[in-house]
Amino acid sequence: MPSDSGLASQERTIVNKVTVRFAGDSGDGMQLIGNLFATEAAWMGNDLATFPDYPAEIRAPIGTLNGVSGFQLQIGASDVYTPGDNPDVLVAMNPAALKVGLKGLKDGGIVLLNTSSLTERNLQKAGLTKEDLDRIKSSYRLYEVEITKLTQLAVNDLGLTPAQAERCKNFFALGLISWMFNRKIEPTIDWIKKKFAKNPAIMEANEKTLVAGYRYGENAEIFSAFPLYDIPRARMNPGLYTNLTGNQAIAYGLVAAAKQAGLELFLGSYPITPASEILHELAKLKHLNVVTFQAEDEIAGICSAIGASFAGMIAATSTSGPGLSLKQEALGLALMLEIPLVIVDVQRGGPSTGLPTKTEQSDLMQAIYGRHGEAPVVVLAAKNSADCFHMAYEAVRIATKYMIPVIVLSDSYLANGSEPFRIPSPNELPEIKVQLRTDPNGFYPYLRDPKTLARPWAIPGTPGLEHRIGGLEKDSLTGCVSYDADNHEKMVLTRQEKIARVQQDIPDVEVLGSPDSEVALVGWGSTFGAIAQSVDELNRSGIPVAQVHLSYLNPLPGNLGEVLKRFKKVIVPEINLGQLSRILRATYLIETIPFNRVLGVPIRAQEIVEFVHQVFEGVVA
Amino acid sequence: MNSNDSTECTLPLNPVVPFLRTERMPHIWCPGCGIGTTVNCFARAVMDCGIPLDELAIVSGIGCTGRVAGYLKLDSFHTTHGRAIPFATGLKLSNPKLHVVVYSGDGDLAGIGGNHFIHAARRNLDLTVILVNNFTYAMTGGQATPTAPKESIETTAPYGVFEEPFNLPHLAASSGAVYVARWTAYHVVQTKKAILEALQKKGFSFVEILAPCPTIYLRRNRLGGAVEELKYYKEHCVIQNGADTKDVGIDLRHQDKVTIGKFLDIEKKEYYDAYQEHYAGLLKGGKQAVAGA
Ligand code: SF4
Repeated sequence: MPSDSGLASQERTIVNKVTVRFAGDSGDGMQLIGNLFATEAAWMGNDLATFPDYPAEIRAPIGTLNGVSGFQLQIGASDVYTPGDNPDVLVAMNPAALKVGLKGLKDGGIVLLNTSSLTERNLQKAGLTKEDLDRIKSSYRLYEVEITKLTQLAVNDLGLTPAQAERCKNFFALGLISWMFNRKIEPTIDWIKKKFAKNPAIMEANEKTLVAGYRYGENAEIFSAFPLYDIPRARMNPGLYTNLTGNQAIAYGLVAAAKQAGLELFLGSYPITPASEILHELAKLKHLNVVTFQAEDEIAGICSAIGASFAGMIAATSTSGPGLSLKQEALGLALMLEIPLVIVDVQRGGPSTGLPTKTEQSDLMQAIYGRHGEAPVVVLAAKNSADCFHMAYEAVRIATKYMIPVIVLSDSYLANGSEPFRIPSPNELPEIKVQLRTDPNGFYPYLRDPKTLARPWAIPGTPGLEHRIGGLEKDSLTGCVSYDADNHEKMVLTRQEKIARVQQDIPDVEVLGSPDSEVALVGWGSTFGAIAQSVDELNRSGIPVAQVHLSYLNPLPGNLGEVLKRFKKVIVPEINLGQLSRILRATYLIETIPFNRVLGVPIRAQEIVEFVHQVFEGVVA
Repeated sequence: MNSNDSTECTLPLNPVVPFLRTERMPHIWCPGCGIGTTVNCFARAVMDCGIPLDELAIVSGIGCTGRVAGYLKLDSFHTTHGRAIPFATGLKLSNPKLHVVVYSGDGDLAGIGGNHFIHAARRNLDLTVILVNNFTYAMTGGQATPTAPKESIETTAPYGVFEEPFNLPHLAASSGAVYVARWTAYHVVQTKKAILEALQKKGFSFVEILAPCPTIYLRRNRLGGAVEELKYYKEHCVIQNGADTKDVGIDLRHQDKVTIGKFLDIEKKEYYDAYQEHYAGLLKGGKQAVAGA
């Protein structure tokens, strides 16, 4: 088994952070080795953030630019907020991956190229010439390795078909990269052993290839002068960590909340990219009494969840933008019924089918305002993959306490990206106290708790509590159908007031960075990491800025107006055309400076830094 | 075709090439996927039926099969998930001269679009609906569709599917379709013929084509590759033209026999004709389109 191979760690060049991008065809297994490399780094105590970037098609055309599947991750010895702006290292399995992957690579960065793939046809498909390759050689540190051929050599005594042998080549690349950055390959070997337990030949082939890649780094002539890197362990809170994607974290957050509430969890959902994994993940958890229902469409998904909530389950539905649009009518019903419901919207590039696998923050308005009638709901947003757990949990807490629907916004970037998640113990999590009404004395379906305005959660089948709920306007006490004008106005105002009162139950915003500066960067959702990193960099370069991050979008935190008014300039970076910016202007009558990109990828910290410079220089006002 | 391709390729041109947007190639389908085979059958049917290409439109929904519309050199409309039939309905009613084909998958047409499917059949609107059935939502990662055979493993059914699958020919026939057939990607000659007949049929015609999805469905269920699946069709399919559709439900690998064939071919008043007749007294100037035109 490869070890440090006698190299004392002082002979390694210590780096604080490194960003690696794996790129290949969608069938090349780049997502897999990216995730395994992340696990190796997590195992060695690094902080990390990942960003899988792949085509919408299951197997996009081989060798083409559109078919390139990428996986980028940043690992570090200190806080890692994002998967990195500009990779230090590119692993390119073919010319198309090289061409796509070079975009953004740091000047002088390391390129590991699979030269077995440099056929005339592949070069042509990627639109690369021999001269381009020469140019790449002079601008980057190019390592040309015949990965496919070396893989075949490594496994040639195992009796695999050439196609089977070739399929192991991603592990060669992983072995080599693990060697470069001194990451231990044990976790990967463990994974291979488990994964291919039923197929010993493939298990052995993958393991051999991985080790061959590692050894190749140790022994090959071209790497003799390679400065071996090391990334020390990061200081993180002690505890048990696991690597979770945002979608997994949502699933576990819902389970944890249901457990805490002492009720069972129901998820009614319909397949949609990039939210489907929430349903997949929960479908596996039957042993935790999770009920999953794959509905025939989006509408049936939410309607079944409303039914489950009526019956006293912690009910949720998960979707993406197009699905949220379809669910909006039923969401209005859930509000009218005043029952707890969690709707998870994993946002993607829109409108319509749009960019199903790409990220965007363009559903904020649809989440807050997207229904007919006066239909306010609570809206929360997760700031990173691990936070998806906490926001899903928080959504259940608020929904059950106030008897209202709560929307949780995530996005494609958080859903697929992963990071170390510290598994909390149940007593660290906020209390979720659910009281299903059983006492018929003085029961009125719409008699409210004076503080939260919540009505009692009385489930069908409880003796003496027979009642009807429905979509028609209801009498403010009995819940009977009422067309009375004054009653309608009272109910509209009450529903609004209920949402407003959630404000008493959510934390004030904190001001991070330089709180006394004149400029604040205000964001929500997945831009948190990029904004935090840019604020860090700006402050270190002598430009004082503050960061304000919003996890609660409706209602907004109670102190937000006062906080924002302290700043001369409020910059709002978003992956949309300025949706939060507009809300802040309308709510607090302040000037905002929107910074908007809609490229289907996360905003990079560097872009924000440059924008802030422009603001300081007066180029943008 | 660009000049590079023609110098490389000395074989005679594939006869369906004129129907394809070759500039969009390579297509997105995986090697061994059955969808491409059905497109070949479709193109040949179009060739044989002699409908001028500018009188033919194709509408598809979302998913791997939904991408068909993008590769055919026809007026085509790639719509939202499950709604191909209502879009096609509007198209047909506005321009009744058009031959309108709906081409999509099992998840799209029978899952989220199921309601539209039965209502279009009930109305007997003149549409040709081609449904490629590969038993999974392939593009979103392999969830169970309403046709998934029992016990098959899907991402939303990690412990196996336990729900009853749809008998789609029976659904179509009992909802009001006038032409109903089921073939497979192995039975290419019959598939082509069925599409041809469906194109020529007035009224709601429905062709279900069983097709392998090697990447998602077959792999997850350890059923081998596309060739094994085609062999399965070859060995287990029984052609029974005119079979009562209530007896043709399938549950692959659970039930040994897969009934295929032309099940229904009847005459019934078509929706647009019925409309014209019903409102004859009100419509001035004889026949006219229902909307627009
Ligand atoms: S995923 Fe399945 S259905 Fe989709 S293109 Fe590949 S083989 Fe065909």
